Amino acid sequence: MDKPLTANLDINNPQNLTAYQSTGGYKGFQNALKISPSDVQQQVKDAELKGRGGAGFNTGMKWSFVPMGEDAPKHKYLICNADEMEPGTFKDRMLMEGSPHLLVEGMMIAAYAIGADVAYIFLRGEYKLCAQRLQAAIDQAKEAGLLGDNIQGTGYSLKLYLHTSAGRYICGEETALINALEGKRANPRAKPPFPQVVGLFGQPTIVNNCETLCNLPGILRQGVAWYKGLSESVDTGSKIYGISGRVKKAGLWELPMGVTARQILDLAGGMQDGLTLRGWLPGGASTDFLMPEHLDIPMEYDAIGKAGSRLGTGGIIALDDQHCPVGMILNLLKFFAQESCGWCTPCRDGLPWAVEILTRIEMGQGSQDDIDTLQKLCGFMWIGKTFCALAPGAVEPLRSGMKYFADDFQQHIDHKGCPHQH
Amino acid sequence: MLTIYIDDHAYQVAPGQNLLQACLGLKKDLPYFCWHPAMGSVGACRQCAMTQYQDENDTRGRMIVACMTPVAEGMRVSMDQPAETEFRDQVISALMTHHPHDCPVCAEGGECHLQDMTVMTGHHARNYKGKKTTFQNQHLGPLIKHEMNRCITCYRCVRFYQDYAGGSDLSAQASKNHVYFGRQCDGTLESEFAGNLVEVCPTGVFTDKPFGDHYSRKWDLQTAPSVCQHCSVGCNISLSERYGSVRRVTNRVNDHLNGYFLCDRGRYGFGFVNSSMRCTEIHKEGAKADWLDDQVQHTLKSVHHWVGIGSTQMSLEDNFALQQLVGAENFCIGLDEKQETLLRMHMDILAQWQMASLAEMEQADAIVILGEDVNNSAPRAALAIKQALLNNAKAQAEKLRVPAWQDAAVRQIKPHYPVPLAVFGYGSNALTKQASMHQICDDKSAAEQGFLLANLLSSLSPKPKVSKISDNVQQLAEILKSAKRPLIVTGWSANNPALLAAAANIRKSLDNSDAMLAIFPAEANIIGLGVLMQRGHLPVSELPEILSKGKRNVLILDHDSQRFQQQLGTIRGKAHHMVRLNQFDSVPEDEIELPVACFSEVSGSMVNYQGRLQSYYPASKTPGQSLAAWQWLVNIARLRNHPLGEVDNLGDLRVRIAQCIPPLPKDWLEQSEQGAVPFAMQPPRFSGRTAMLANQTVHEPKPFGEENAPYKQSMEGQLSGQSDNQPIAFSWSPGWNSNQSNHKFRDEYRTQELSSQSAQLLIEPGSQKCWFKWQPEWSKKIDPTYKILAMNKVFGSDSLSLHAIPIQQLVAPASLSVNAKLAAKLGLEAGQWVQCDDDSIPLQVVIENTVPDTTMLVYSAANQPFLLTGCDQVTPLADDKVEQYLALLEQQKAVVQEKQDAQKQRLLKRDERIPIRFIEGVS
Repeated sequence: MDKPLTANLDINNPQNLTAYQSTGGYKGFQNALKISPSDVQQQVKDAELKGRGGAGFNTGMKWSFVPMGEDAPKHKYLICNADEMEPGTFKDRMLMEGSPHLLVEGMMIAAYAIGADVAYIFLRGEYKLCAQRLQAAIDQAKEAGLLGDNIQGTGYSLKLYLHTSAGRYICGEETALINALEGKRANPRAKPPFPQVVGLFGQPTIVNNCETLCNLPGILRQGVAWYKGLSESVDTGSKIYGISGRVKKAGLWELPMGVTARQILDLAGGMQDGLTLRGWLPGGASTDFLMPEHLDIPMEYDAIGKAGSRLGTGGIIALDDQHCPVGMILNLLKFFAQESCGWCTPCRDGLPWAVEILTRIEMGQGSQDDIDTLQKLCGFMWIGKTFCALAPGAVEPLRSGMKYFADDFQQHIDHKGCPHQH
Repeated sequence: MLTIYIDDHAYQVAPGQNLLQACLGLKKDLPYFCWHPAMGSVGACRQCAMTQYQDENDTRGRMIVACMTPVAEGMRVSMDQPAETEFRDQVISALMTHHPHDCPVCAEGGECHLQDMTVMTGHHARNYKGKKTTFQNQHLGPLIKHEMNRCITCYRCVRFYQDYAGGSDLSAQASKNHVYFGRQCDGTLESEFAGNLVEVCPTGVFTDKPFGDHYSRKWDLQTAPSVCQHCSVGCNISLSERYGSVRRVTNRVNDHLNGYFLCDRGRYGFGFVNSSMRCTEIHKEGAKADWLDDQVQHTLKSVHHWVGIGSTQMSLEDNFALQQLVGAENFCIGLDEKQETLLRMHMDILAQWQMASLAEMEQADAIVILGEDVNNSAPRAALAIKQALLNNAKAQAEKLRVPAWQDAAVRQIKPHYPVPLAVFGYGSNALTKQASMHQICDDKSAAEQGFLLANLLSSLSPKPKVSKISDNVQQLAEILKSAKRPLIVTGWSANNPALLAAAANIRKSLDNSDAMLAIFPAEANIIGLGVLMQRGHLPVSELPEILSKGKRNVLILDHDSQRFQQQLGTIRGKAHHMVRLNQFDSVPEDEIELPVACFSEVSGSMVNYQGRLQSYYPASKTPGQSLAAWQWLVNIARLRNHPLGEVDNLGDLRVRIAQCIPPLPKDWLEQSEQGAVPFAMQPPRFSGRTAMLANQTVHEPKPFGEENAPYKQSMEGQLSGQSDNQPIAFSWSPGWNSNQSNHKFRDEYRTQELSSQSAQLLIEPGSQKCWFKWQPEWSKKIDPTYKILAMNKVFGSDSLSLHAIPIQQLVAPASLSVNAKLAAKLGLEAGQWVQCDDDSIPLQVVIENTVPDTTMLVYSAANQPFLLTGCDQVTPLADDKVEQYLALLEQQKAVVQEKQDAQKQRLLKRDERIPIRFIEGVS
């Protein structure tokens, strides 16, 4: 299988501009420049590329909400969401460290497709090496005339800036990201207006995930048919899947869309000796637990959805039988409570409340009514009740964990302690 | 109107609003926190959750928050189903996890929106078992107390402070459940609207500090509808009393004027009524006297010619009574010559143009301010102008199908759709900082540019002496032509009638019936005096001559300003007898001093900048021997057998006024008619009715009320808000103890069509509009090298509020502002202390580039008037003098502190024993 994302990826020594171009780099962008922006949008729509940030929305479709043509605002923005902070997820880091030009090219294509004149990479602050390499790639592209005014005489101009985030998980939410980029508090914005119409500095703005953007050069270079042929699943293209937890060899692999979690687990060499898999989170911390019996479900948006979880980022977190599920959930919830922006009540005050209860249960000081309260809190922070998706996402491992590991919770309460710590 | 279904009942609601607004308008009890009628929706607290159904067959529905959901025809929602009621209960439980539950010691207790909403949702048992977060509080100055632990993070404070009022020193800090609303470090809040935080905060994070120092629960406060005395806007306020002292001022919603907010001068300036400087006894040559004393009666009966001097600090009724007593030809209105000229011009303009209300000003889409520092002369009006700056963003939002009440969204769009705001003038303030066009010039050239602008808009408009048109003016003419609702603002700050003329000419040159004009006079009741002036008056310029004719008596209505005291020196020597009716003790040289009641103690009316007649009612009773000024004047009239002596009560007096000044609003007169059930000024839960005086008498006193007055200082009577005709004394409704209960008394919010206001306006503009010509004297050059322009400050420029201790604590020392160029030329440095010519007031130098060349901007508090209008020389103060002066300032601060403590002790002492004479029927 072709691996358009990682074929030329080198973590230790990423390709420079010349090397990247010698392996077909920037061909996709050149191709895009030859056709109209709306044709680029159509190609991406036809390729059925779905957003790799977690929501899985059709990328071409998202772009089509941006006002185009003469009456459109003068300034439009493209933002790469590279604020990768989802626990268990590190795919964007690999892409940016190992193949910075791929992202730069992808952004050029996207920016061209929506008519953006300025693009930003909103990068997680801790990704220092990414920052270094991306900046170098941007500088090289600029020097080569691939970025700047009137690119290669086409009349299209694009400025690309790297912005390193001050670090909040909520900046992964696109409108909070936009606020942060404007120098404001990173609180999500009310929608409507959607950023496609009123976004950064009040102008039409598209925010795409880093991996999503990295898919574009391939589509534009090798065509829609080729791209759709990469996978046999209903979801097109390839995807960086990963696994962490106590497996033999945690890591990331570019695989066709729709492989099964079992295949990924096998690539990691299975669980460490003496451990069995008890459950797994399919795509980062903010997805529902799935069980070993779900391992053969294809890792695609709808199938995972039907199983009761979300594909999310495709970064699996494996839970083994020697680790306390309550402890794991507590750990995740602590993170989310810490990262709440403080805007809406259910998230701001509900998550710390859940943490307080889980802490007591884990310490053996829980009581039966705590379970009821936890259940209620799951409903309290569910979709439709909060301002953005942070709290509902945070609740996913909790509510599914309480379903699948109910016995463990009960054991903590009955035996006044964590069985894994004795 | 739209039909919506709430729990399967059909209701008619106005379109364009959100569901929460609609539910409250239907008097439903839907709890909320972050929404505010004047600030719109942001969807943060999630408290107003409801369920929306697709159609009548949909039984599941989905949860929505009402404040973020526009009403739509046929929409079906529920608010009583278990899903949403449980969720709303959960929201409160979550909000209360860290709340300290310190209601017994919280100043908000009893009028706390959080308490009300908690009870409303049914949450009553706490099941959060963890520890509470604690925050460190900040010292935010003399007005506001900070108690962060009570915070429920509704974001209203920052949304008001930063977004609505433009302040920058209060912000939301930190994140998660540690969000902190405060300043970067301790310090006095800089915004002059900070006091509104007390009412905006749904719980006790920000509380009224002076009120907290001498505290009473809301249910124990006797509250009267009143009108602010501290500028010409005439904001509507509620005055609250307990044990004979006035405790606080709160906002009283008026759709045309103040809406939901006041400025801090209005909120805290009332303190003068409790001042120890109040004059409460009759004095004769400085010694305590009695009305029945022969000498007093002899003087007051004097058959010699009497001249009366009116006052802006007194009501229309008081000034009218004086005019009646001495005769129009002997009634001097109490302004100086320049102000009289301004008032004549102002009255001419009012006879032609109706002044825009604050609500109308908020609708403007292009604004021109000519030589007026609205921020400091009429702060609430500046806040209204600031809201207008959102209008183009709101229009754009509507195009994007985002409703205008989606506050956060509108504010995101705002920078890209600015409303043009042009300022011609000097000095920098919150509005100049937002101006899209700021031409720095003195008042004269601001007026000239105004005349030129009018001439550009209409060639018929008279030209000034100059002809050079600035680019700004050219540009502005185009903006004003295309604007739908342009607004022209000016005022009296610069003491220059040419500015008023210019503004009127611009208004006339705009061929647009929606164009607006607003002119702000210097003090509260000036237009009231203008109305009386039109019936005839004695120009102040003729006063010395009249007095020099010998044996003239002078009767002076309350004037406490230092500026007036200085003028009085010249009159004093010439008058035969001088009688003063004073609110504050004055110098013993005055022959007779009669103590006059404050606005908090008697009824009266004032006329605001628009000519709007507004009445206030007494919250407390008159102290000592004091009486309403009109009552003294009637008593004097009786001594002299003057026809005014036939007046029996305020109603009688008003009938007389109505005969002289038609048309007067009908309800103003009806208030004195008999038969109506008076409304109660004490809430239904008022405590201590029979106990308060038990240490003095066992009789239960008869409730007090002025004769034929429409209210009683009692718990009995109509409850506030039950009558459409009467103003609401206090906002309270069962289950809604806080001021959020407003919606129970009102059909619609300000976003809807405003009710007509013409009934309350005293002056009906005629259809004849005329141009004002440029007067030659307006072009006169002044002799001194540097022209001195006066600068106003919210705290300091109003002399009445200077008697209030919290205001005294905020008054800045006198300053002289010059631009960097002039500073360099004169060798002045910022912070340096200087004096101008032979004036003795030390001024601290401020380098401010919004001061025009060859001019100096001088601020000096009203109790230290700076009289120079020009200066040739600026002399640095010698080092030892500076030291002395700084020591003096420190000393003054200490004195204020002492006064604050003393006043508190004095009032607390009084609480223990209310003077028994306060009570009717007990002797």
